[in-house]
Amino acid sequence: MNLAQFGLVLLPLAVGMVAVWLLLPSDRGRQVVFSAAIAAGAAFIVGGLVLLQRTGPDVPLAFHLLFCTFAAMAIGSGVCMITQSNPVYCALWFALVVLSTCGLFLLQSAMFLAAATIIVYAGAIVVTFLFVIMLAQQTGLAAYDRHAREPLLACIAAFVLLAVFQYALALAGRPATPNAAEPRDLPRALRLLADAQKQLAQGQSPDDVGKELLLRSENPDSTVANVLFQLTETLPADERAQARTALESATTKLGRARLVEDRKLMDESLAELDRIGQSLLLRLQGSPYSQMQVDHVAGLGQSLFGDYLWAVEVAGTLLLIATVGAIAIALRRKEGNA
Amino acid sequence: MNPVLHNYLVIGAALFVLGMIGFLTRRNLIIMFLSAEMMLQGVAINLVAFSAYHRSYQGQVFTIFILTVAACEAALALALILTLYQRRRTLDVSAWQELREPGVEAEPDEVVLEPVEPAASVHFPSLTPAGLEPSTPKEQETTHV
Amino acid sequence: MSDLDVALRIIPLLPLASSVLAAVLGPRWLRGRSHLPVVAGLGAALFFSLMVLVEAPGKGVVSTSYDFLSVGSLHVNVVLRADALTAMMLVTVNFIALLVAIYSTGYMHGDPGYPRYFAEIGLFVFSMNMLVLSSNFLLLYVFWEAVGLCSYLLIGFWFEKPSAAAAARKAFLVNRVGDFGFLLGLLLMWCTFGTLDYDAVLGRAGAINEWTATAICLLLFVGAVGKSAQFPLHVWLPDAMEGPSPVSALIHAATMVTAGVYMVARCTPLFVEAPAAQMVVSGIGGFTALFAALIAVTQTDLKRVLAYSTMSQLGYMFLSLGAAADDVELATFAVVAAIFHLFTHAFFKALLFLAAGSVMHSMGNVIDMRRFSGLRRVLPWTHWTFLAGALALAALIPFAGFWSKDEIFVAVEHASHGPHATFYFVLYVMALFTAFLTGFYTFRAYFLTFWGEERIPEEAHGHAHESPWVMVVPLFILAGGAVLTGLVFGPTHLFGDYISRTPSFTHHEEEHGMNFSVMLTSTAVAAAGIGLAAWLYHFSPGLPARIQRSARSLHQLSLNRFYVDELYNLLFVGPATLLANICRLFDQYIVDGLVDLIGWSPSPVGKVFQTPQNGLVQYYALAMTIGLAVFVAFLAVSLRS
Repeated sequence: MNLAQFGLVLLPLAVGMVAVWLLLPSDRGRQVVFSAAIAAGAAFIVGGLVLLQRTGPDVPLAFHLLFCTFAAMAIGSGVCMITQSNPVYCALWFALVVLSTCGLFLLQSAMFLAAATIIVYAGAIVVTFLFVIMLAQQTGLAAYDRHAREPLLACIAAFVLLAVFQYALALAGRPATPNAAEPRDLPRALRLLADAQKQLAQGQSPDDVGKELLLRSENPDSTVANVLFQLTETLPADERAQARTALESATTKLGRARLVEDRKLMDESLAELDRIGQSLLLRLQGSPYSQMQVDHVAGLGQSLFGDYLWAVEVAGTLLLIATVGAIAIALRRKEGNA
Repeated sequence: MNPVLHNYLVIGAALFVLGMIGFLTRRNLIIMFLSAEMMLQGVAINLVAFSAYHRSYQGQVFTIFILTVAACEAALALALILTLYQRRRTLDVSAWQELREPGVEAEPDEVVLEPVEPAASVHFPSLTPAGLEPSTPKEQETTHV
Repeated sequence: MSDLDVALRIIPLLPLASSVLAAVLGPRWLRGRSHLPVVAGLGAALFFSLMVLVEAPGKGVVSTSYDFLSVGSLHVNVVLRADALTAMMLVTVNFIALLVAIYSTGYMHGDPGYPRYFAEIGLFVFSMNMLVLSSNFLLLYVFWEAVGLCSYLLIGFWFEKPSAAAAARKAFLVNRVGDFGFLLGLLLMWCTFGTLDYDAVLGRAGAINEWTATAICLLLFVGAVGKSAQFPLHVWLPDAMEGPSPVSALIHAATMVTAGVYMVARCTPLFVEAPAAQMVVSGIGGFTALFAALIAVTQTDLKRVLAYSTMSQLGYMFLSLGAAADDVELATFAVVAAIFHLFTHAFFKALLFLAAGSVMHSMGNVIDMRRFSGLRRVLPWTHWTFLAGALALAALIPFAGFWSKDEIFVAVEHASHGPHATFYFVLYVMALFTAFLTGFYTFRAYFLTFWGEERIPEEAHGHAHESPWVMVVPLFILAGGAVLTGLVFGPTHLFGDYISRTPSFTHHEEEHGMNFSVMLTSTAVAAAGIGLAAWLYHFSPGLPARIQRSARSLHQLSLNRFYVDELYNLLFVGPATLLANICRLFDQYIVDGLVDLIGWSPSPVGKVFQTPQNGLVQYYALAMTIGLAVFVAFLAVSLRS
């Protein structure tokens, strides 16, 4: 990502930060707040258009729409939460943030987590907060709520942090070596494979098919196998090794088939390559991961109580300690109560 | 990088940073803590996105633990905040600056705002007692519910 | 291991062991009895020295101790070696030391540093014994320094007295100058010969060219000049009288100062090859003799008179040592004469110092001759023994000094007929005049102290009495030596024969008969000196004052020691003090300042880091955020590839 592109990304961030700064509680007039809110909205939309990447045709439109809704709700509620003067309003906006987060979880097929979050966060924690706000309520709006501390410095620091995160994200997506295969090379590679399969079915010799496969790619480095191999970089580590071994076996089979002129072998190898290519395509296009939807809770339970049993026990103990601690503090508070 | 993952990470980062701004700027102890919880939400979004991307449950398990810890932390923190409130009768975080270096002075409040008068107490309607004719002074306006 | 081997090892080690005992057990347990181990050790050492004396003169008796130093081609073993010369020195040293130790038990009685004193005496005797027993020049140098150290310790025995501490320092530093020359000579010797062993060096002395030999000899002589207080390194000896009188007797009369003479005598084969060096030796010796005598004439402090007298007599010894320039047959005789004078001088000078100590002891530590007189009735024994010593010093026949000084005169007179005749003739005349002066100042001191009306200073608290027997008996023994040794050993050639059996004195002396003319001349000048002293100080007491007034400038010149000390102060001590002050200021302000700066500097640095810590949680969180941003950026950039 070069500097111009990165600058484009920074712009909505900057506008958003300015908006947040203006919105933070201070003694500015309402008009400023209003205009800031509009600026915030604009930043939202523009930012959304720039920052968020376009998902490919494999992702259904509904998914995308829902994602944008929940994302906008989350960020909007977040901004509202930190810029309200009244603490009760803050707590309520926070509950909204939690709801949007839950929506995002649902979109990622984390149903149990969504439910748990709503129950624990929006149900228990926010309610506890509200209780405490009531207990510590002062009559009227307190001075410390009406004025934020060092908003400019905080916004600048936040902007810098967010820009750095963005930069890191941008760097993360780049391919490892120049001239390496990019995801857009994959459909073409798959097309080549499909053509080769068709030709084989039509009766051409395996040797010719293989040569065609090679000839029709302009760059000798971007043969189909090479493209597939480089694209396995994008796979997560545990899948990568698997994919690579499969790829290797397929390519050796292809080579042997060409040599030995074995039609069936070539057919098999082409089919394997096709399969690998399709799974890669699926990966890169980011379709919702249907495999995880079924047996989600069962799988989660298995992982939680199987691999992480010890951590669960420790978490339970932690909850116990927190309970005891809270009671101890409460009792002491009662004793020390004036 | 996978666009869906990228989008989720951006949202997670944005929530995290917003929570950070809230923590740094607000002076109400409770709001500060609430912002910290929002930071945790951002992190949770990240974790769940990675979990889905890698098709493993590790991220979600981690998020469950974050939830647990956040609950404990909220309980304890609120208890402590209440204790602090009882000392100084204020939720202002500027009241607690004693742990500074000996040569450094306390941060004063730059802007001193006048206390806002609480809104005039709403005059709630009351039922007239049965029997007697109420004697209402002329200025008093009652609102009928 | 034969008896002699045992004896050779015991002679230095017994005094050392006794010194250690006195040092360790003295302060708490022995205290007033700390002399016991030392006296016993010295007595035993004397016994074994006598044994060596009797048996040694064959060849040098060699006994190896151990390998001390092996560096490259330089192998230094601690080898103890005794030949005739060594044996004679051993007997002299141990005998005088024993008498001095016995004397000290009375003199130092009641002094709080009693154990320390005896420990240091023991250490000194050990060093001196090892010096004469060493078989190579490196070992000689080591113990040369060691006796210098003991001298420092003993001169500054009463170190709380500033003048004593200063005198000790002066002695050490002036000796150091001489030792530096000695070291250069040693290095040159090693470069030339490749070894520092006596036998090897002295045996091959003839093989080197004359310039090298001259250089080596001159450098070695510089060391002797420092140690034996010859001009120009003589300034420490008079000041060394700040130490206790027994110390002056032992170290600055009989033993340490004679180490220079011993060394030059030992190197005779080398000096014989360098006539120019021998002439320098004689010249300086003769000059110092005259110079010291001129100063001694006007001194008022009895011990200083004796100190200058020692300087003068040492000058005689060096005069004789260098008398054989280009005259090889004379060499052995001249050297033997010097050694003989060393031997007799040890007796009568030690006697004189001990007697002076006795006087001081009863006069309440007053030694200024202007404050007391007429003591011959108060201190009879001291009087007679002092007289014996004075007669020996003045070299009147038949006392000891006469025989030895006479041999020196013979040697010089003989040299004045050989090559360099004029040079030696001038020296001969100087020596005669010095003999006259010797008689004069010695008896001046004698008459001033013991004759005239009886005056006792008030420091004596009224009870001036003769010293206890433990102090008087050594005086008697030494007086006997002063009277008899010359007579017994001189004309009978016993001494000469014995010493010339030293292997390096190869040229057998020719027989010199009694040279009557020389004997007569020397007696005459000595008697003239005594007579003049008697006339001026006994028979016409007012005369010295009138002479002094009329020759005031000469008197002042002599009294102020020819202003040599002042000259040295101007030339050397002043600049050195200035340099030392500069260094001190540098150390105090710059070096210390730097260290203080380093100690102070963390404080402002810390203050800088103090400012962000203002107690607000949010500021800390802000700092964390900034840190996080920096960290993530760094990580992202470094993982670009």
